[in-house]
Amino acid sequence: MVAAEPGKGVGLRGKVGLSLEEVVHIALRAIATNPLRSALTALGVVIGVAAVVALTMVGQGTTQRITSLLEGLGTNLLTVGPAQGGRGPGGGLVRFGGPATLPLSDAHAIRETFPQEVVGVAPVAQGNFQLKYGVNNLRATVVGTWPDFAQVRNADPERGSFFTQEDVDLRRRVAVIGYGVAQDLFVGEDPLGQRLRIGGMPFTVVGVLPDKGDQGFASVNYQVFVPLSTYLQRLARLEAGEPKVNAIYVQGADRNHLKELQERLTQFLAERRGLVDPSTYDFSITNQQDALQSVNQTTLVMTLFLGGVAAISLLVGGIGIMNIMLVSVTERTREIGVRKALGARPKDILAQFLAESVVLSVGGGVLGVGLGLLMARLVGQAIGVSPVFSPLSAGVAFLFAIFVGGFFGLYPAWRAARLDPVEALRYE
Amino acid sequence: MLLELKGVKKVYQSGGVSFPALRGVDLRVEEGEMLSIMGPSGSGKSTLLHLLGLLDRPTEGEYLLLGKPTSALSEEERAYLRNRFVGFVFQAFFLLPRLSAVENVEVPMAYAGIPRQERHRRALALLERVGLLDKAKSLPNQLSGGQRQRVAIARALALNPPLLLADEPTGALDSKAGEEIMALFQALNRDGTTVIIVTHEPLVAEKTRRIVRVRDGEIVADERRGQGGGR
Ligand SMILES: Nc1ncnc2c1ncn2[C@@H]1O[C@H](COP(=O)(O)OP(=O)(O)OP(=O)(O)O)[C@@H](O)[C@H]1O
Ligand SMILES: [Mg+2]
Repeated sequence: MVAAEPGKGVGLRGKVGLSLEEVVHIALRAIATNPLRSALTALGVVIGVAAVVALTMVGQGTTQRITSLLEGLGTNLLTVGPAQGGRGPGGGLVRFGGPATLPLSDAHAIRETFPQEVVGVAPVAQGNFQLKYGVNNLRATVVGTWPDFAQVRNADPERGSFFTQEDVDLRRRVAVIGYGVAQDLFVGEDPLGQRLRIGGMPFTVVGVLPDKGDQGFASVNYQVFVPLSTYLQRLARLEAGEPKVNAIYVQGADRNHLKELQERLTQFLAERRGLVDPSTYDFSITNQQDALQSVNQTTLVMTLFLGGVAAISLLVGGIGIMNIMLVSVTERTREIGVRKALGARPKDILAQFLAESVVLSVGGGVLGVGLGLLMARLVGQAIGVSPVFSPLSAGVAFLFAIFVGGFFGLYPAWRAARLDPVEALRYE
Repeated sequence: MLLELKGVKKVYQSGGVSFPALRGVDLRVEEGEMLSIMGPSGSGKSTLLHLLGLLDRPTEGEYLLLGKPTSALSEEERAYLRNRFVGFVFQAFFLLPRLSAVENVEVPMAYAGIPRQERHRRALALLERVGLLDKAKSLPNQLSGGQRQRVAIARALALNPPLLLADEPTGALDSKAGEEIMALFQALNRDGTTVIIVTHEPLVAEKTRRIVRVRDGEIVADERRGQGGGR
């Protein structure tokens, strides 16, 4: 006869108990009995997990984007720009837009003085201009620079070629256009050899850059490059005096000596200006490596910080679960008494309530990951970052949620398990 | 000897006041007996039955089950016995309010590890036996007092326990239904189940061969008669 078969001849000892499936079934029923309360109980965990998932996704997306942005800008890059207070992330790439303050002669001097150490020099002056081709109009950033720019800033055209030194020397009206400009202004037509008007002035397209991806600010896709000399004369309409540029990009020959080159250039430019005290310098040189590092560091700190905040919210969610479970144990004292009277062991009662809190937190975890993905997408769209899904952080958040449910469910379940049957039955 | 109480006392403590609900009870019940416990309200009948059903522990004295002291049993072992050895019909029924009649009957079988299908089949058979098959899917609050009582009885019988303890099992029933239930108990008793019934009704008590009378927490009479049902 099977052990489960009821009947006479039952001994004093034996095994009883619920299967796991049975326990989960009871828990699910209890949860379904009060859906609103269950949902509110799980909400803390949902929000906590969603926050962890969304924040890490957006954080990683931001890091990746800035890193690829910086790396796409060229290797061994030093940027000479106007003096600046602090060196924030992205330093050296976006001090565009401000007034051009650097004398162009600095660029010539650097090229002549450091022929070995420096392999490319590209001063840039820039401004926003109306582009016109046929009936199409577009406002874009026009950058005047030297041919070295192509190499220094990783801007080799996909079609055609970059303008040459001769173009610069002869102040030719030629232009290399970004991918987005080609798309939007020439819709379907081949821009090569076509003439577009920049600020009313006709220029011939000699090169089209490849799609650099949407890099948000300072997107190369929406820039047009022209010889610096042409720019200064035709577009900037420079009055008499020394021509000024916004920045000078310098490509070092050797990655390992970039730091040293940075110091020597600083020294050199200070001497050229007859300045001694660094606080009076009207220029600054940033190192791409520094920028990368500081970006990584900043985003790491941010991610950890936000992750910590999210973890705390998960903890708060856990306390919410504990609170409701304690209430639920009290409310169901009678039920616990009945179940015990009918043969539930302390273990079975413990399992029942623990299962309830774990099911709540697992449900919360699943919803949280889903909501996190959604939030990451929305936030990503809002700030122009494509979020990176990390299975690891989602998994960790999810496991943490289960742990929270188990941990905070344990005490109420334990309280339920050790209730005395007769006392529990008396409870009104 | 199925069960034996030796000098059992039960003192309730509530709010600093202690109340002796049982003041030294000696009782022996043989396997296969059928007996009634009678007594005025508050005399300690339910308290006695709870002790016999291992729902409570004596404050003093010993309760022997199959000759073995129950004070040595662990919580797990007591749970096992409550599940498989004792069928308990509560005075207040104590059905689980969110479960249907048939699900209520299934509960003890779930703790016995009987698979769902099997348990459902048996629960329906039990409900049929107490005449409630048509109410199988009803929730307790959709049932009358008498119907609830019958569900509680079906539940107590779920695992066909060797000892059936029923606290006023006919209290909410009309005389016809009450007689049917008593007939059911007598049939079970003929098959070997030991039945102990707490009752106020002399007509019910008459159906058992032995009547134990309780007053103020003490057994004042233990009558055995030749006539009536049981052995
Ligand atoms: N948990 C408790 N705390 C305090 N007193 C209690 C407790 N349980 C029962 N009593 C008291 O013990 C006495 C016996 O109670 P019990 O329930 O056994 O009576 P009973 O004989 O079953 O009465 P009835 O016929 O009304 O059901 C009563 O006076 C009751 O007030
Ligand atoms: Mg009573």
